[in-house]
Amino acid sequence: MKSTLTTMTLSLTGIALAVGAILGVVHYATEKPIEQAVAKAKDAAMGEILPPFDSYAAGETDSEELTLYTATKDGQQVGYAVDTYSDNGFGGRIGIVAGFDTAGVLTGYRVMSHAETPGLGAKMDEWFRESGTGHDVIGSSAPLKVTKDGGDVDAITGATITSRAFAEAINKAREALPQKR
Amino acid sequence: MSALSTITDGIVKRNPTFVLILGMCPTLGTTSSALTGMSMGLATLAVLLCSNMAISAIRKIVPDAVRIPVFIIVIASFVTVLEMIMQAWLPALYSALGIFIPLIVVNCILLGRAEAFASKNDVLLSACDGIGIGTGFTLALTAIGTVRELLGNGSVFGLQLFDSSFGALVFVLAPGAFIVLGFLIALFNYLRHA
Repeated sequence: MKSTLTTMTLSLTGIALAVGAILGVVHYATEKPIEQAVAKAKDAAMGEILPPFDSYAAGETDSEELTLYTATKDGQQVGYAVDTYSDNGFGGRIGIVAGFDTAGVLTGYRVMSHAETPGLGAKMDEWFRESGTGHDVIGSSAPLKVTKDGGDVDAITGATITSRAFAEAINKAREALPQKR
Repeated sequence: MSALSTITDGIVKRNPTFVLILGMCPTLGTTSSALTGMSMGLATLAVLLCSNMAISAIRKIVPDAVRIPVFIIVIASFVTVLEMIMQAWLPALYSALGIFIPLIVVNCILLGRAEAFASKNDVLLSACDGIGIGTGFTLALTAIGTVRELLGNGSVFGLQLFDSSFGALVFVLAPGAFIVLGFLIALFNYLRHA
Protein backbone atom coordinates (compact mmCIF):
# COMPACT_ATOMS: atom_id res chain seq x y z
CA MET A 1 0.00 0.00 0.00
CA LYS A 2 1.14 3.57 -0.69
CA SER A 3 2.62 5.36 2.30
CA THR A 4 0.89 8.64 3.01
CA LEU A 5 0.60 10.27 6.39
CA THR A 6 -3.05 9.20 6.58
CA THR A 7 -2.56 5.54 5.67
CA MET A 8 0.47 5.24 7.94
CA THR A 9 -1.29 6.79 10.92
CA LEU A 10 -4.49 4.83 10.36
CA SER A 11 -2.82 1.44 9.89
CA LEU A 12 -0.41 1.84 12.82
CA THR A 13 -3.20 3.05 15.13
CA GLY A 14 -5.55 0.31 13.99
CA ILE A 15 -3.00 -2.47 14.42
CA ALA A 16 -1.85 -1.15 17.80
CA LEU A 17 -5.49 -1.02 19.00
CA ALA A 18 -6.27 -4.53 17.74
CA VAL A 19 -3.12 -5.96 19.29
CA GLY A 20 -3.77 -4.11 22.56
CA ALA A 21 -7.26 -5.61 22.72
CA ILE A 22 -5.92 -9.13 22.11
CA LEU A 23 -3.28 -8.72 24.82
CA GLY A 24 -5.92 -7.40 27.21
CA VAL A 25 -8.16 -10.41 26.64
CA VAL A 26 -5.30 -12.90 27.05
CA HIS A 27 -4.13 -11.12 30.20
CA TYR A 28 -7.66 -11.26 31.61
CA ALA A 29 -7.96 -14.97 30.77
CA THR A 30 -4.56 -15.94 32.20
CA GLU A 31 -4.46 -13.71 35.30
CA LYS A 32 -6.24 -16.17 37.61
CA PRO A 33 -4.49 -19.33 36.34
CA ILE A 34 -1.08 -17.61 36.74
CA GLU A 35 -1.92 -16.65 40.34
CA GLN A 36 -3.06 -20.20 41.05
CA ALA A 37 0.07 -21.67 39.44
CA VAL A 38 2.29 -19.42 41.57
CA ALA A 39 0.37 -20.30 44.77
CA LYS A 40 0.49 -24.00 43.91
CA ALA A 41 4.24 -23.86 43.30
CA LYS A 42 4.65 -22.16 46.67
CA ASP A 43 2.54 -24.78 48.48
CA ALA A 44 4.53 -27.56 46.82
CA ALA A 45 7.79 -25.87 47.79
CA MET A 46 6.65 -25.47 51.41
CA GLY A 47 5.83 -29.18 51.60
CA GLU A 48 9.32 -30.05 50.35
CA ILE A 49 11.47 -27.75 52.42
CA LEU A 50 9.79 -27.87 55.85
CA PRO A 51 9.42 -30.58 58.49
CA PRO A 52 5.91 -32.17 58.32
CA PHE A 53 3.27 -29.53 59.12
CA ASP A 54 -0.50 -28.93 59.01
CA SER A 55 -0.63 -25.29 58.00
CA TYR A 56 1.53 -22.24 57.48
CA ALA A 57 0.84 -18.56 57.90
CA ALA A 58 2.77 -15.33 57.53
CA GLY A 59 4.64 -14.69 60.78
CA GLU A 60 6.42 -11.75 62.35
CA THR A 61 9.98 -10.90 61.56
CA ASP A 62 12.36 -8.00 62.15
CA SER A 63 13.33 -8.03 58.52
CA GLU A 64 11.59 -5.37 56.48
CA GLU A 65 12.07 -6.90 53.06
CA LEU A 66 11.65 -10.63 53.56
CA THR A 67 8.42 -12.52 54.26
CA LEU A 68 8.54 -15.13 57.01
CA TYR A 69 6.07 -17.99 57.35
CA THR A 70 5.63 -20.08 60.46
CA ALA A 71 4.56 -23.68 59.99
CA THR A 72 2.54 -25.39 62.72
CA LYS A 73 1.56 -28.99 63.39
CA ASP A 74 -1.11 -29.74 66.06
CA GLY A 75 -0.82 -26.15 67.27
CA GLN A 76 2.94 -26.50 67.80
CA GLN A 77 5.48 -24.47 65.82
CA VAL A 78 7.61 -26.85 63.79
CA GLY A 79 9.54 -24.55 61.50
CA TYR A 80 9.92 -21.38 59.46
CA ALA A 81 10.01 -20.67 55.76
CA VAL A 82 11.54 -17.46 54.48
CA ASP A 83 10.89 -15.93 51.07
CA THR A 84 14.38 -14.65 50.36
CA TYR A 85 16.39 -13.37 47.42
CA SER A 86 19.73 -12.09 46.22
CA ASP A 87 20.30 -9.42 43.61
CA ASN A 88 23.88 -10.57 43.00
CA GLY A 89 23.16 -13.52 40.73
CA PHE A 90 24.93 -13.78 37.36
CA GLY A 91 21.64 -12.92 35.66
CA GLY A 92 20.13 -10.63 38.29
CA ARG A 93 17.71 -11.52 41.04
CA ILE A 94 17.49 -15.07 42.42
CA GLY A 95 14.35 -15.84 44.44
CA ILE A 96 14.57 -18.69 46.96
CA VAL A 97 12.28 -20.06 49.67
CA ALA A 98 14.35 -21.47 52.51
CA GLY A 99 12.98 -23.76 55.22
CA PHE A 100 14.33 -23.93 58.79
CA ASP A 101 13.33 -25.96 61.84
CA THR A 102 12.75 -24.19 65.16
CA ALA A 103 16.44 -24.56 66.08
CA GLY A 104 17.49 -22.66 62.97
CA VAL A 105 18.81 -25.67 61.03
CA LEU A 106 18.28 -25.41 57.28
CA THR A 107 15.78 -28.15 56.35
CA GLY A 108 15.44 -27.40 52.67
CA TYR A 109 15.25 -24.80 49.95
CA ARG A 110 13.66 -24.24 46.58
CA VAL A 111 14.77 -21.82 43.87
CA MET A 112 11.57 -20.08 42.75
CA SER A 113 12.88 -17.67 40.13
CA HIS A 114 16.23 -16.97 38.52
CA ALA A 115 17.89 -16.03 35.26
CA GLU A 116 21.15 -17.98 35.63
CA THR A 117 22.95 -19.80 32.80
CA PRO A 118 21.28 -23.13 31.98
CA GLY A 119 23.68 -26.01 32.68
CA LEU A 120 25.79 -23.87 35.03
CA GLY A 121 24.22 -21.53 37.58
CA ALA A 122 20.78 -23.01 36.93
CA LYS A 123 22.03 -26.21 38.57
CA MET A 124 21.73 -24.56 42.01
CA ASP A 125 18.25 -26.03 42.57
CA GLU A 126 19.83 -29.52 42.91
CA TRP A 127 23.50 -28.81 43.49
CA PHE A 128 23.26 -27.58 47.09
CA ARG A 129 21.19 -30.50 48.30
CA GLU A 130 23.11 -33.43 46.80
CA SER A 131 23.86 -35.30 50.02
CA GLY A 132 27.28 -36.77 50.73
CA THR A 133 29.13 -34.11 48.74
CA GLY A 134 31.10 -31.02 49.70
CA HIS A 135 28.23 -28.85 48.59
CA ASP A 136 25.30 -30.25 50.57
CA VAL A 137 23.98 -27.37 52.67
CA ILE A 138 20.86 -29.08 54.07
CA GLY A 139 21.28 -29.48 57.81
CA SER A 140 23.69 -26.60 58.19
CA SER A 141 23.15 -24.17 61.03
CA ALA A 142 25.94 -21.65 60.39
CA PRO A 143 26.13 -18.94 57.72
CA LEU A 144 27.19 -20.33 54.32
CA LYS A 145 30.39 -19.35 52.54
CA VAL A 146 31.87 -20.84 49.37
CA THR A 147 35.38 -22.41 49.54
CA LYS A 148 36.85 -19.69 47.33
CA ASP A 149 35.94 -17.14 50.01
CA GLY A 150 37.36 -19.27 52.81
CA GLY A 151 34.14 -21.14 53.62
CA ASP A 152 33.38 -24.84 53.34
CA VAL A 153 30.68 -25.03 50.65
CA ASP A 154 31.91 -26.14 47.21
CA ALA A 155 30.68 -23.68 44.58
CA ILE A 156 29.00 -24.94 41.40
CA THR A 157 31.75 -25.65 38.83
CA GLY A 158 31.93 -22.61 36.56
CA ALA A 159 29.30 -20.67 38.51
CA THR A 160 30.98 -19.14 41.55
CA ILE A 161 28.97 -15.92 41.25
CA THR A 162 25.69 -17.84 41.35
CA SER A 163 26.95 -19.86 44.32
CA ARG A 164 27.89 -16.69 46.23
CA ALA A 165 24.46 -15.18 45.53
CA PHE A 166 22.82 -18.41 46.69
CA ALA A 167 24.77 -18.33 49.96
CA GLU A 168 23.89 -14.67 50.41
CA ALA A 169 20.16 -15.35 49.98
CA ILE A 170 20.20 -18.24 52.46
CA ASN A 171 22.21 -16.22 55.00
CA LYS A 172 19.78 -13.34 54.63
CA ALA A 173 16.90 -15.72 55.32
CA ARG A 174 18.65 -17.06 58.42
CA GLU A 175 19.01 -13.54 59.81
CA ALA A 176 15.26 -13.01 59.46
CA LEU A 177 14.48 -15.92 61.80
CA PRO A 178 12.82 -14.94 65.10
CA GLN A 179 15.32 -16.62 67.46
CA LYS A 180 18.04 -14.31 66.18
CA ARG A 181 16.39 -11.41 68.01
CA MET B 1 6.70 -22.97 -5.28
CA SER B 2 4.65 -25.69 -3.65
CA ALA B 3 3.67 -25.88 0.00
CA LEU B 4 5.76 -29.00 0.59
CA SER B 5 8.93 -27.66 -1.01
CA THR B 6 8.55 -24.48 1.07
CA ILE B 7 8.63 -26.61 4.22
CA THR B 8 11.60 -28.78 3.18
CA ASP B 9 13.51 -25.70 1.93
CA GLY B 10 13.19 -24.21 5.42
CA ILE B 11 14.76 -27.30 6.93
CA VAL B 12 17.59 -27.91 4.43
CA LYS B 13 18.20 -25.31 1.70
CA ARG B 14 17.30 -22.30 3.86
CA ASN B 15 18.08 -23.75 7.29
CA PRO B 16 18.15 -20.59 9.46
CA THR B 17 21.05 -21.72 11.65
CA PHE B 18 23.36 -23.65 9.32
CA VAL B 19 22.73 -21.88 5.99
CA LEU B 20 21.22 -18.43 6.60
CA ILE B 21 23.24 -18.08 9.85
CA LEU B 22 20.40 -16.06 11.40
CA GLY B 23 19.32 -15.82 15.05
CA MET B 24 22.76 -16.61 16.45
CA CYS B 25 22.05 -15.09 19.88
CA PRO B 26 19.48 -17.67 21.07
CA THR B 27 21.40 -20.36 19.17
CA LEU B 28 24.54 -19.77 21.20
CA GLY B 29 22.76 -18.87 24.42
CA THR B 30 20.20 -21.62 24.87
CA THR B 31 22.02 -24.70 23.58
CA SER B 32 23.98 -25.62 26.71
CA SER B 33 21.72 -28.69 26.92
CA ALA B 34 19.65 -30.60 24.36
CA LEU B 35 16.38 -29.97 26.20
CA THR B 36 16.72 -26.17 26.52
CA GLY B 37 17.81 -25.96 22.87
CA MET B 38 14.82 -27.95 21.71
CA SER B 39 12.37 -26.00 23.92
CA MET B 40 13.69 -22.71 22.57
CA GLY B 41 13.33 -24.06 19.02
CA LEU B 42 9.72 -25.14 19.59
CA ALA B 43 8.76 -21.83 21.25
CA THR B 44 10.27 -19.95 18.31
CA LEU B 45 8.46 -22.27 15.88
CA ALA B 46 5.10 -21.45 17.53
CA VAL B 47 5.68 -17.69 17.39
CA LEU B 48 7.10 -17.80 13.85
CA LEU B 49 4.09 -19.75 12.55
CA CYS B 50 1.62 -17.26 14.10
CA SER B 51 3.55 -14.13 13.12
CA ASN B 52 4.13 -15.32 9.54
CA MET B 53 0.39 -16.00 9.08
CA ALA B 54 -0.71 -12.74 10.70
CA ILE B 55 1.77 -10.63 8.75
CA SER B 56 0.83 -12.32 5.49
CA ALA B 57 -2.88 -11.70 6.22
CA ILE B 58 -2.37 -7.97 6.80
CA ARG B 59 0.35 -7.46 4.15
CA LYS B 60 -1.95 -5.57 1.76
CA ILE B 61 -3.17 -2.99 4.28
CA VAL B 62 0.25 -2.11 5.71
CA PRO B 63 1.96 0.93 4.11
CA ASP B 64 5.56 0.12 3.06
CA ALA B 65 7.15 2.89 5.10
CA VAL B 66 5.83 1.57 8.44
CA ARG B 67 6.00 -2.16 7.76
CA ILE B 68 8.94 -2.83 10.13
CA PRO B 69 7.22 -1.28 13.21
CA VAL B 70 4.06 -3.24 12.32
CA PHE B 71 6.02 -6.51 12.04
CA ILE B 72 7.67 -5.88 15.40
CA ILE B 73 4.31 -5.10 17.08
CA VAL B 74 2.83 -8.33 15.72
CA ILE B 75 5.85 -10.46 16.74
CA ALA B 76 6.11 -8.89 20.22
CA SER B 77 2.39 -9.47 20.82
CA PHE B 78 2.58 -13.17 19.93
CA VAL B 79 5.59 -13.58 22.19
CA THR B 80 3.75 -11.89 25.08
CA VAL B 81 0.68 -14.05 24.51
CA LEU B 82 2.84 -17.20 24.44
CA GLU B 83 4.60 -16.07 27.63
CA MET B 84 1.32 -15.51 29.50
CA ILE B 85 -0.14 -18.83 28.32
CA MET B 86 2.97 -20.77 29.34
CA GLN B 87 3.05 -19.01 32.71
CA ALA B 88 -0.57 -19.95 33.35
CA TRP B 89 -0.74 -23.51 32.10
CA LEU B 90 2.86 -24.74 31.69
CA PRO B 91 4.62 -23.21 34.73
CA ALA B 92 7.35 -25.89 34.79
CA LEU B 93 8.37 -25.22 31.18
CA TYR B 94 8.08 -21.48 31.78
CA SER B 95 10.50 -21.54 34.70
CA ALA B 96 12.91 -23.77 32.76
CA LEU B 97 13.11 -21.39 29.79
CA GLY B 98 12.78 -18.25 31.91
CA ILE B 99 14.46 -15.29 30.30
CA PHE B 100 14.67 -16.80 26.80
CA ILE B 101 10.95 -16.47 26.03
CA PRO B 102 10.85 -12.64 25.93
CA LEU B 103 14.08 -12.76 23.91
CA ILE B 104 12.25 -14.43 21.01
CA VAL B 105 11.15 -10.89 20.07
CA VAL B 106 14.70 -9.92 19.13
CA ASN B 107 15.36 -13.12 17.19
CA CYS B 108 16.09 -11.84 13.70
CA ILE B 109 14.74 -15.02 12.09
CA LEU B 110 11.21 -13.77 12.84
CA LEU B 111 11.69 -10.31 11.39
CA GLY B 112 13.75 -11.80 8.57
CA ARG B 113 11.01 -14.22 7.50
CA ALA B 114 8.34 -11.53 7.87
CA GLU B 115 10.28 -9.20 5.58
CA ALA B 116 11.62 -11.75 3.10
CA PHE B 117 8.68 -14.12 2.84
CA ALA B 118 5.42 -13.42 4.71
CA SER B 119 5.06 -9.87 3.36
CA LYS B 120 5.21 -11.20 -0.22
CA ASN B 121 3.30 -14.51 -0.09
CA ASP B 122 -0.17 -15.74 0.79
CA VAL B 123 -1.18 -17.06 4.21
CA LEU B 124 -0.86 -20.78 3.38
CA LEU B 125 2.66 -20.50 1.93
CA SER B 126 3.70 -18.23 4.82
CA ALA B 127 2.43 -20.82 7.30
CA CYS B 128 4.47 -23.49 5.47
CA ASP B 129 7.53 -21.25 5.56
CA GLY B 130 7.00 -20.75 9.31
CA ILE B 131 6.76 -24.50 9.88
CA GLY B 132 9.80 -25.22 7.69
CA ILE B 133 12.10 -22.55 9.08
CA GLY B 134 10.85 -23.22 12.64
CA THR B 135 11.51 -26.94 12.29
CA GLY B 136 14.94 -26.28 10.79
CA PHE B 137 15.75 -23.99 13.72
CA THR B 138 14.47 -26.54 16.27
CA LEU B 139 16.48 -29.39 14.73
CA ALA B 140 19.62 -27.25 14.55
CA LEU B 141 19.33 -26.10 18.19
CA THR B 142 18.63 -29.65 19.36
CA ALA B 143 21.70 -30.91 17.45
CA ILE B 144 23.99 -28.23 18.91
CA GLY B 145 22.52 -28.75 22.38
CA THR B 146 22.99 -32.52 22.18
CA VAL B 147 26.66 -32.23 21.16
CA ARG B 148 27.40 -29.59 23.81
CA GLU B 149 25.60 -31.49 26.58
CA LEU B 150 27.35 -34.75 25.63
CA LEU B 151 30.87 -33.26 25.47
CA GLY B 152 30.40 -30.88 28.37
CA ASN B 153 28.32 -32.86 30.83
CA GLY B 154 28.36 -36.46 29.58
CA SER B 155 24.60 -36.62 29.17
CA VAL B 156 21.97 -36.36 26.44
CA PHE B 157 18.52 -34.97 27.32
CA GLY B 158 19.48 -35.36 30.99
CA LEU B 159 20.31 -39.07 30.52
CA GLN B 160 23.79 -39.57 31.99
CA LEU B 161 25.96 -41.55 29.52
CA PHE B 162 29.27 -41.16 31.34
CA ASP B 163 30.28 -39.34 34.50
CA SER B 164 29.99 -35.57 34.22
CA SER B 165 33.51 -35.13 35.66
CA PHE B 166 34.87 -36.39 32.30
CA GLY B 167 33.04 -33.61 30.49
CA ALA B 168 34.96 -30.60 29.19
CA LEU B 169 33.33 -27.59 30.85
CA VAL B 170 34.31 -25.37 27.90
CA PHE B 171 31.53 -26.94 25.81
CA VAL B 172 28.86 -25.78 28.26
CA LEU B 173 30.31 -22.27 28.25
CA ALA B 174 30.18 -19.71 25.42
CA PRO B 175 33.44 -20.70 23.62
CA GLY B 176 32.13 -24.27 23.27
CA ALA B 177 28.99 -22.92 21.64
CA PHE B 178 31.05 -21.23 18.92
CA ILE B 179 33.26 -24.29 18.40
CA VAL B 180 30.34 -26.73 18.11
CA LEU B 181 28.37 -24.32 15.90
CA GLY B 182 31.33 -23.94 13.54
CA PHE B 183 31.89 -27.68 13.18
CA LEU B 184 28.18 -28.37 12.69
CA ILE B 185 27.88 -25.64 10.01
CA ALA B 186 30.83 -27.22 8.18
CA LEU B 187 29.37 -30.72 8.48
CA PHE B 188 25.87 -29.63 7.43
CA ASN B 189 27.12 -27.84 4.33
CA TYR B 190 29.49 -30.68 3.42
CA LEU B 191 26.55 -33.13 3.52
CA ARG B 192 24.27 -30.68 1.71
CA HIS B 193 26.66 -30.38 -1.22
CA ALA B 194 27.84 -33.99 -1.20
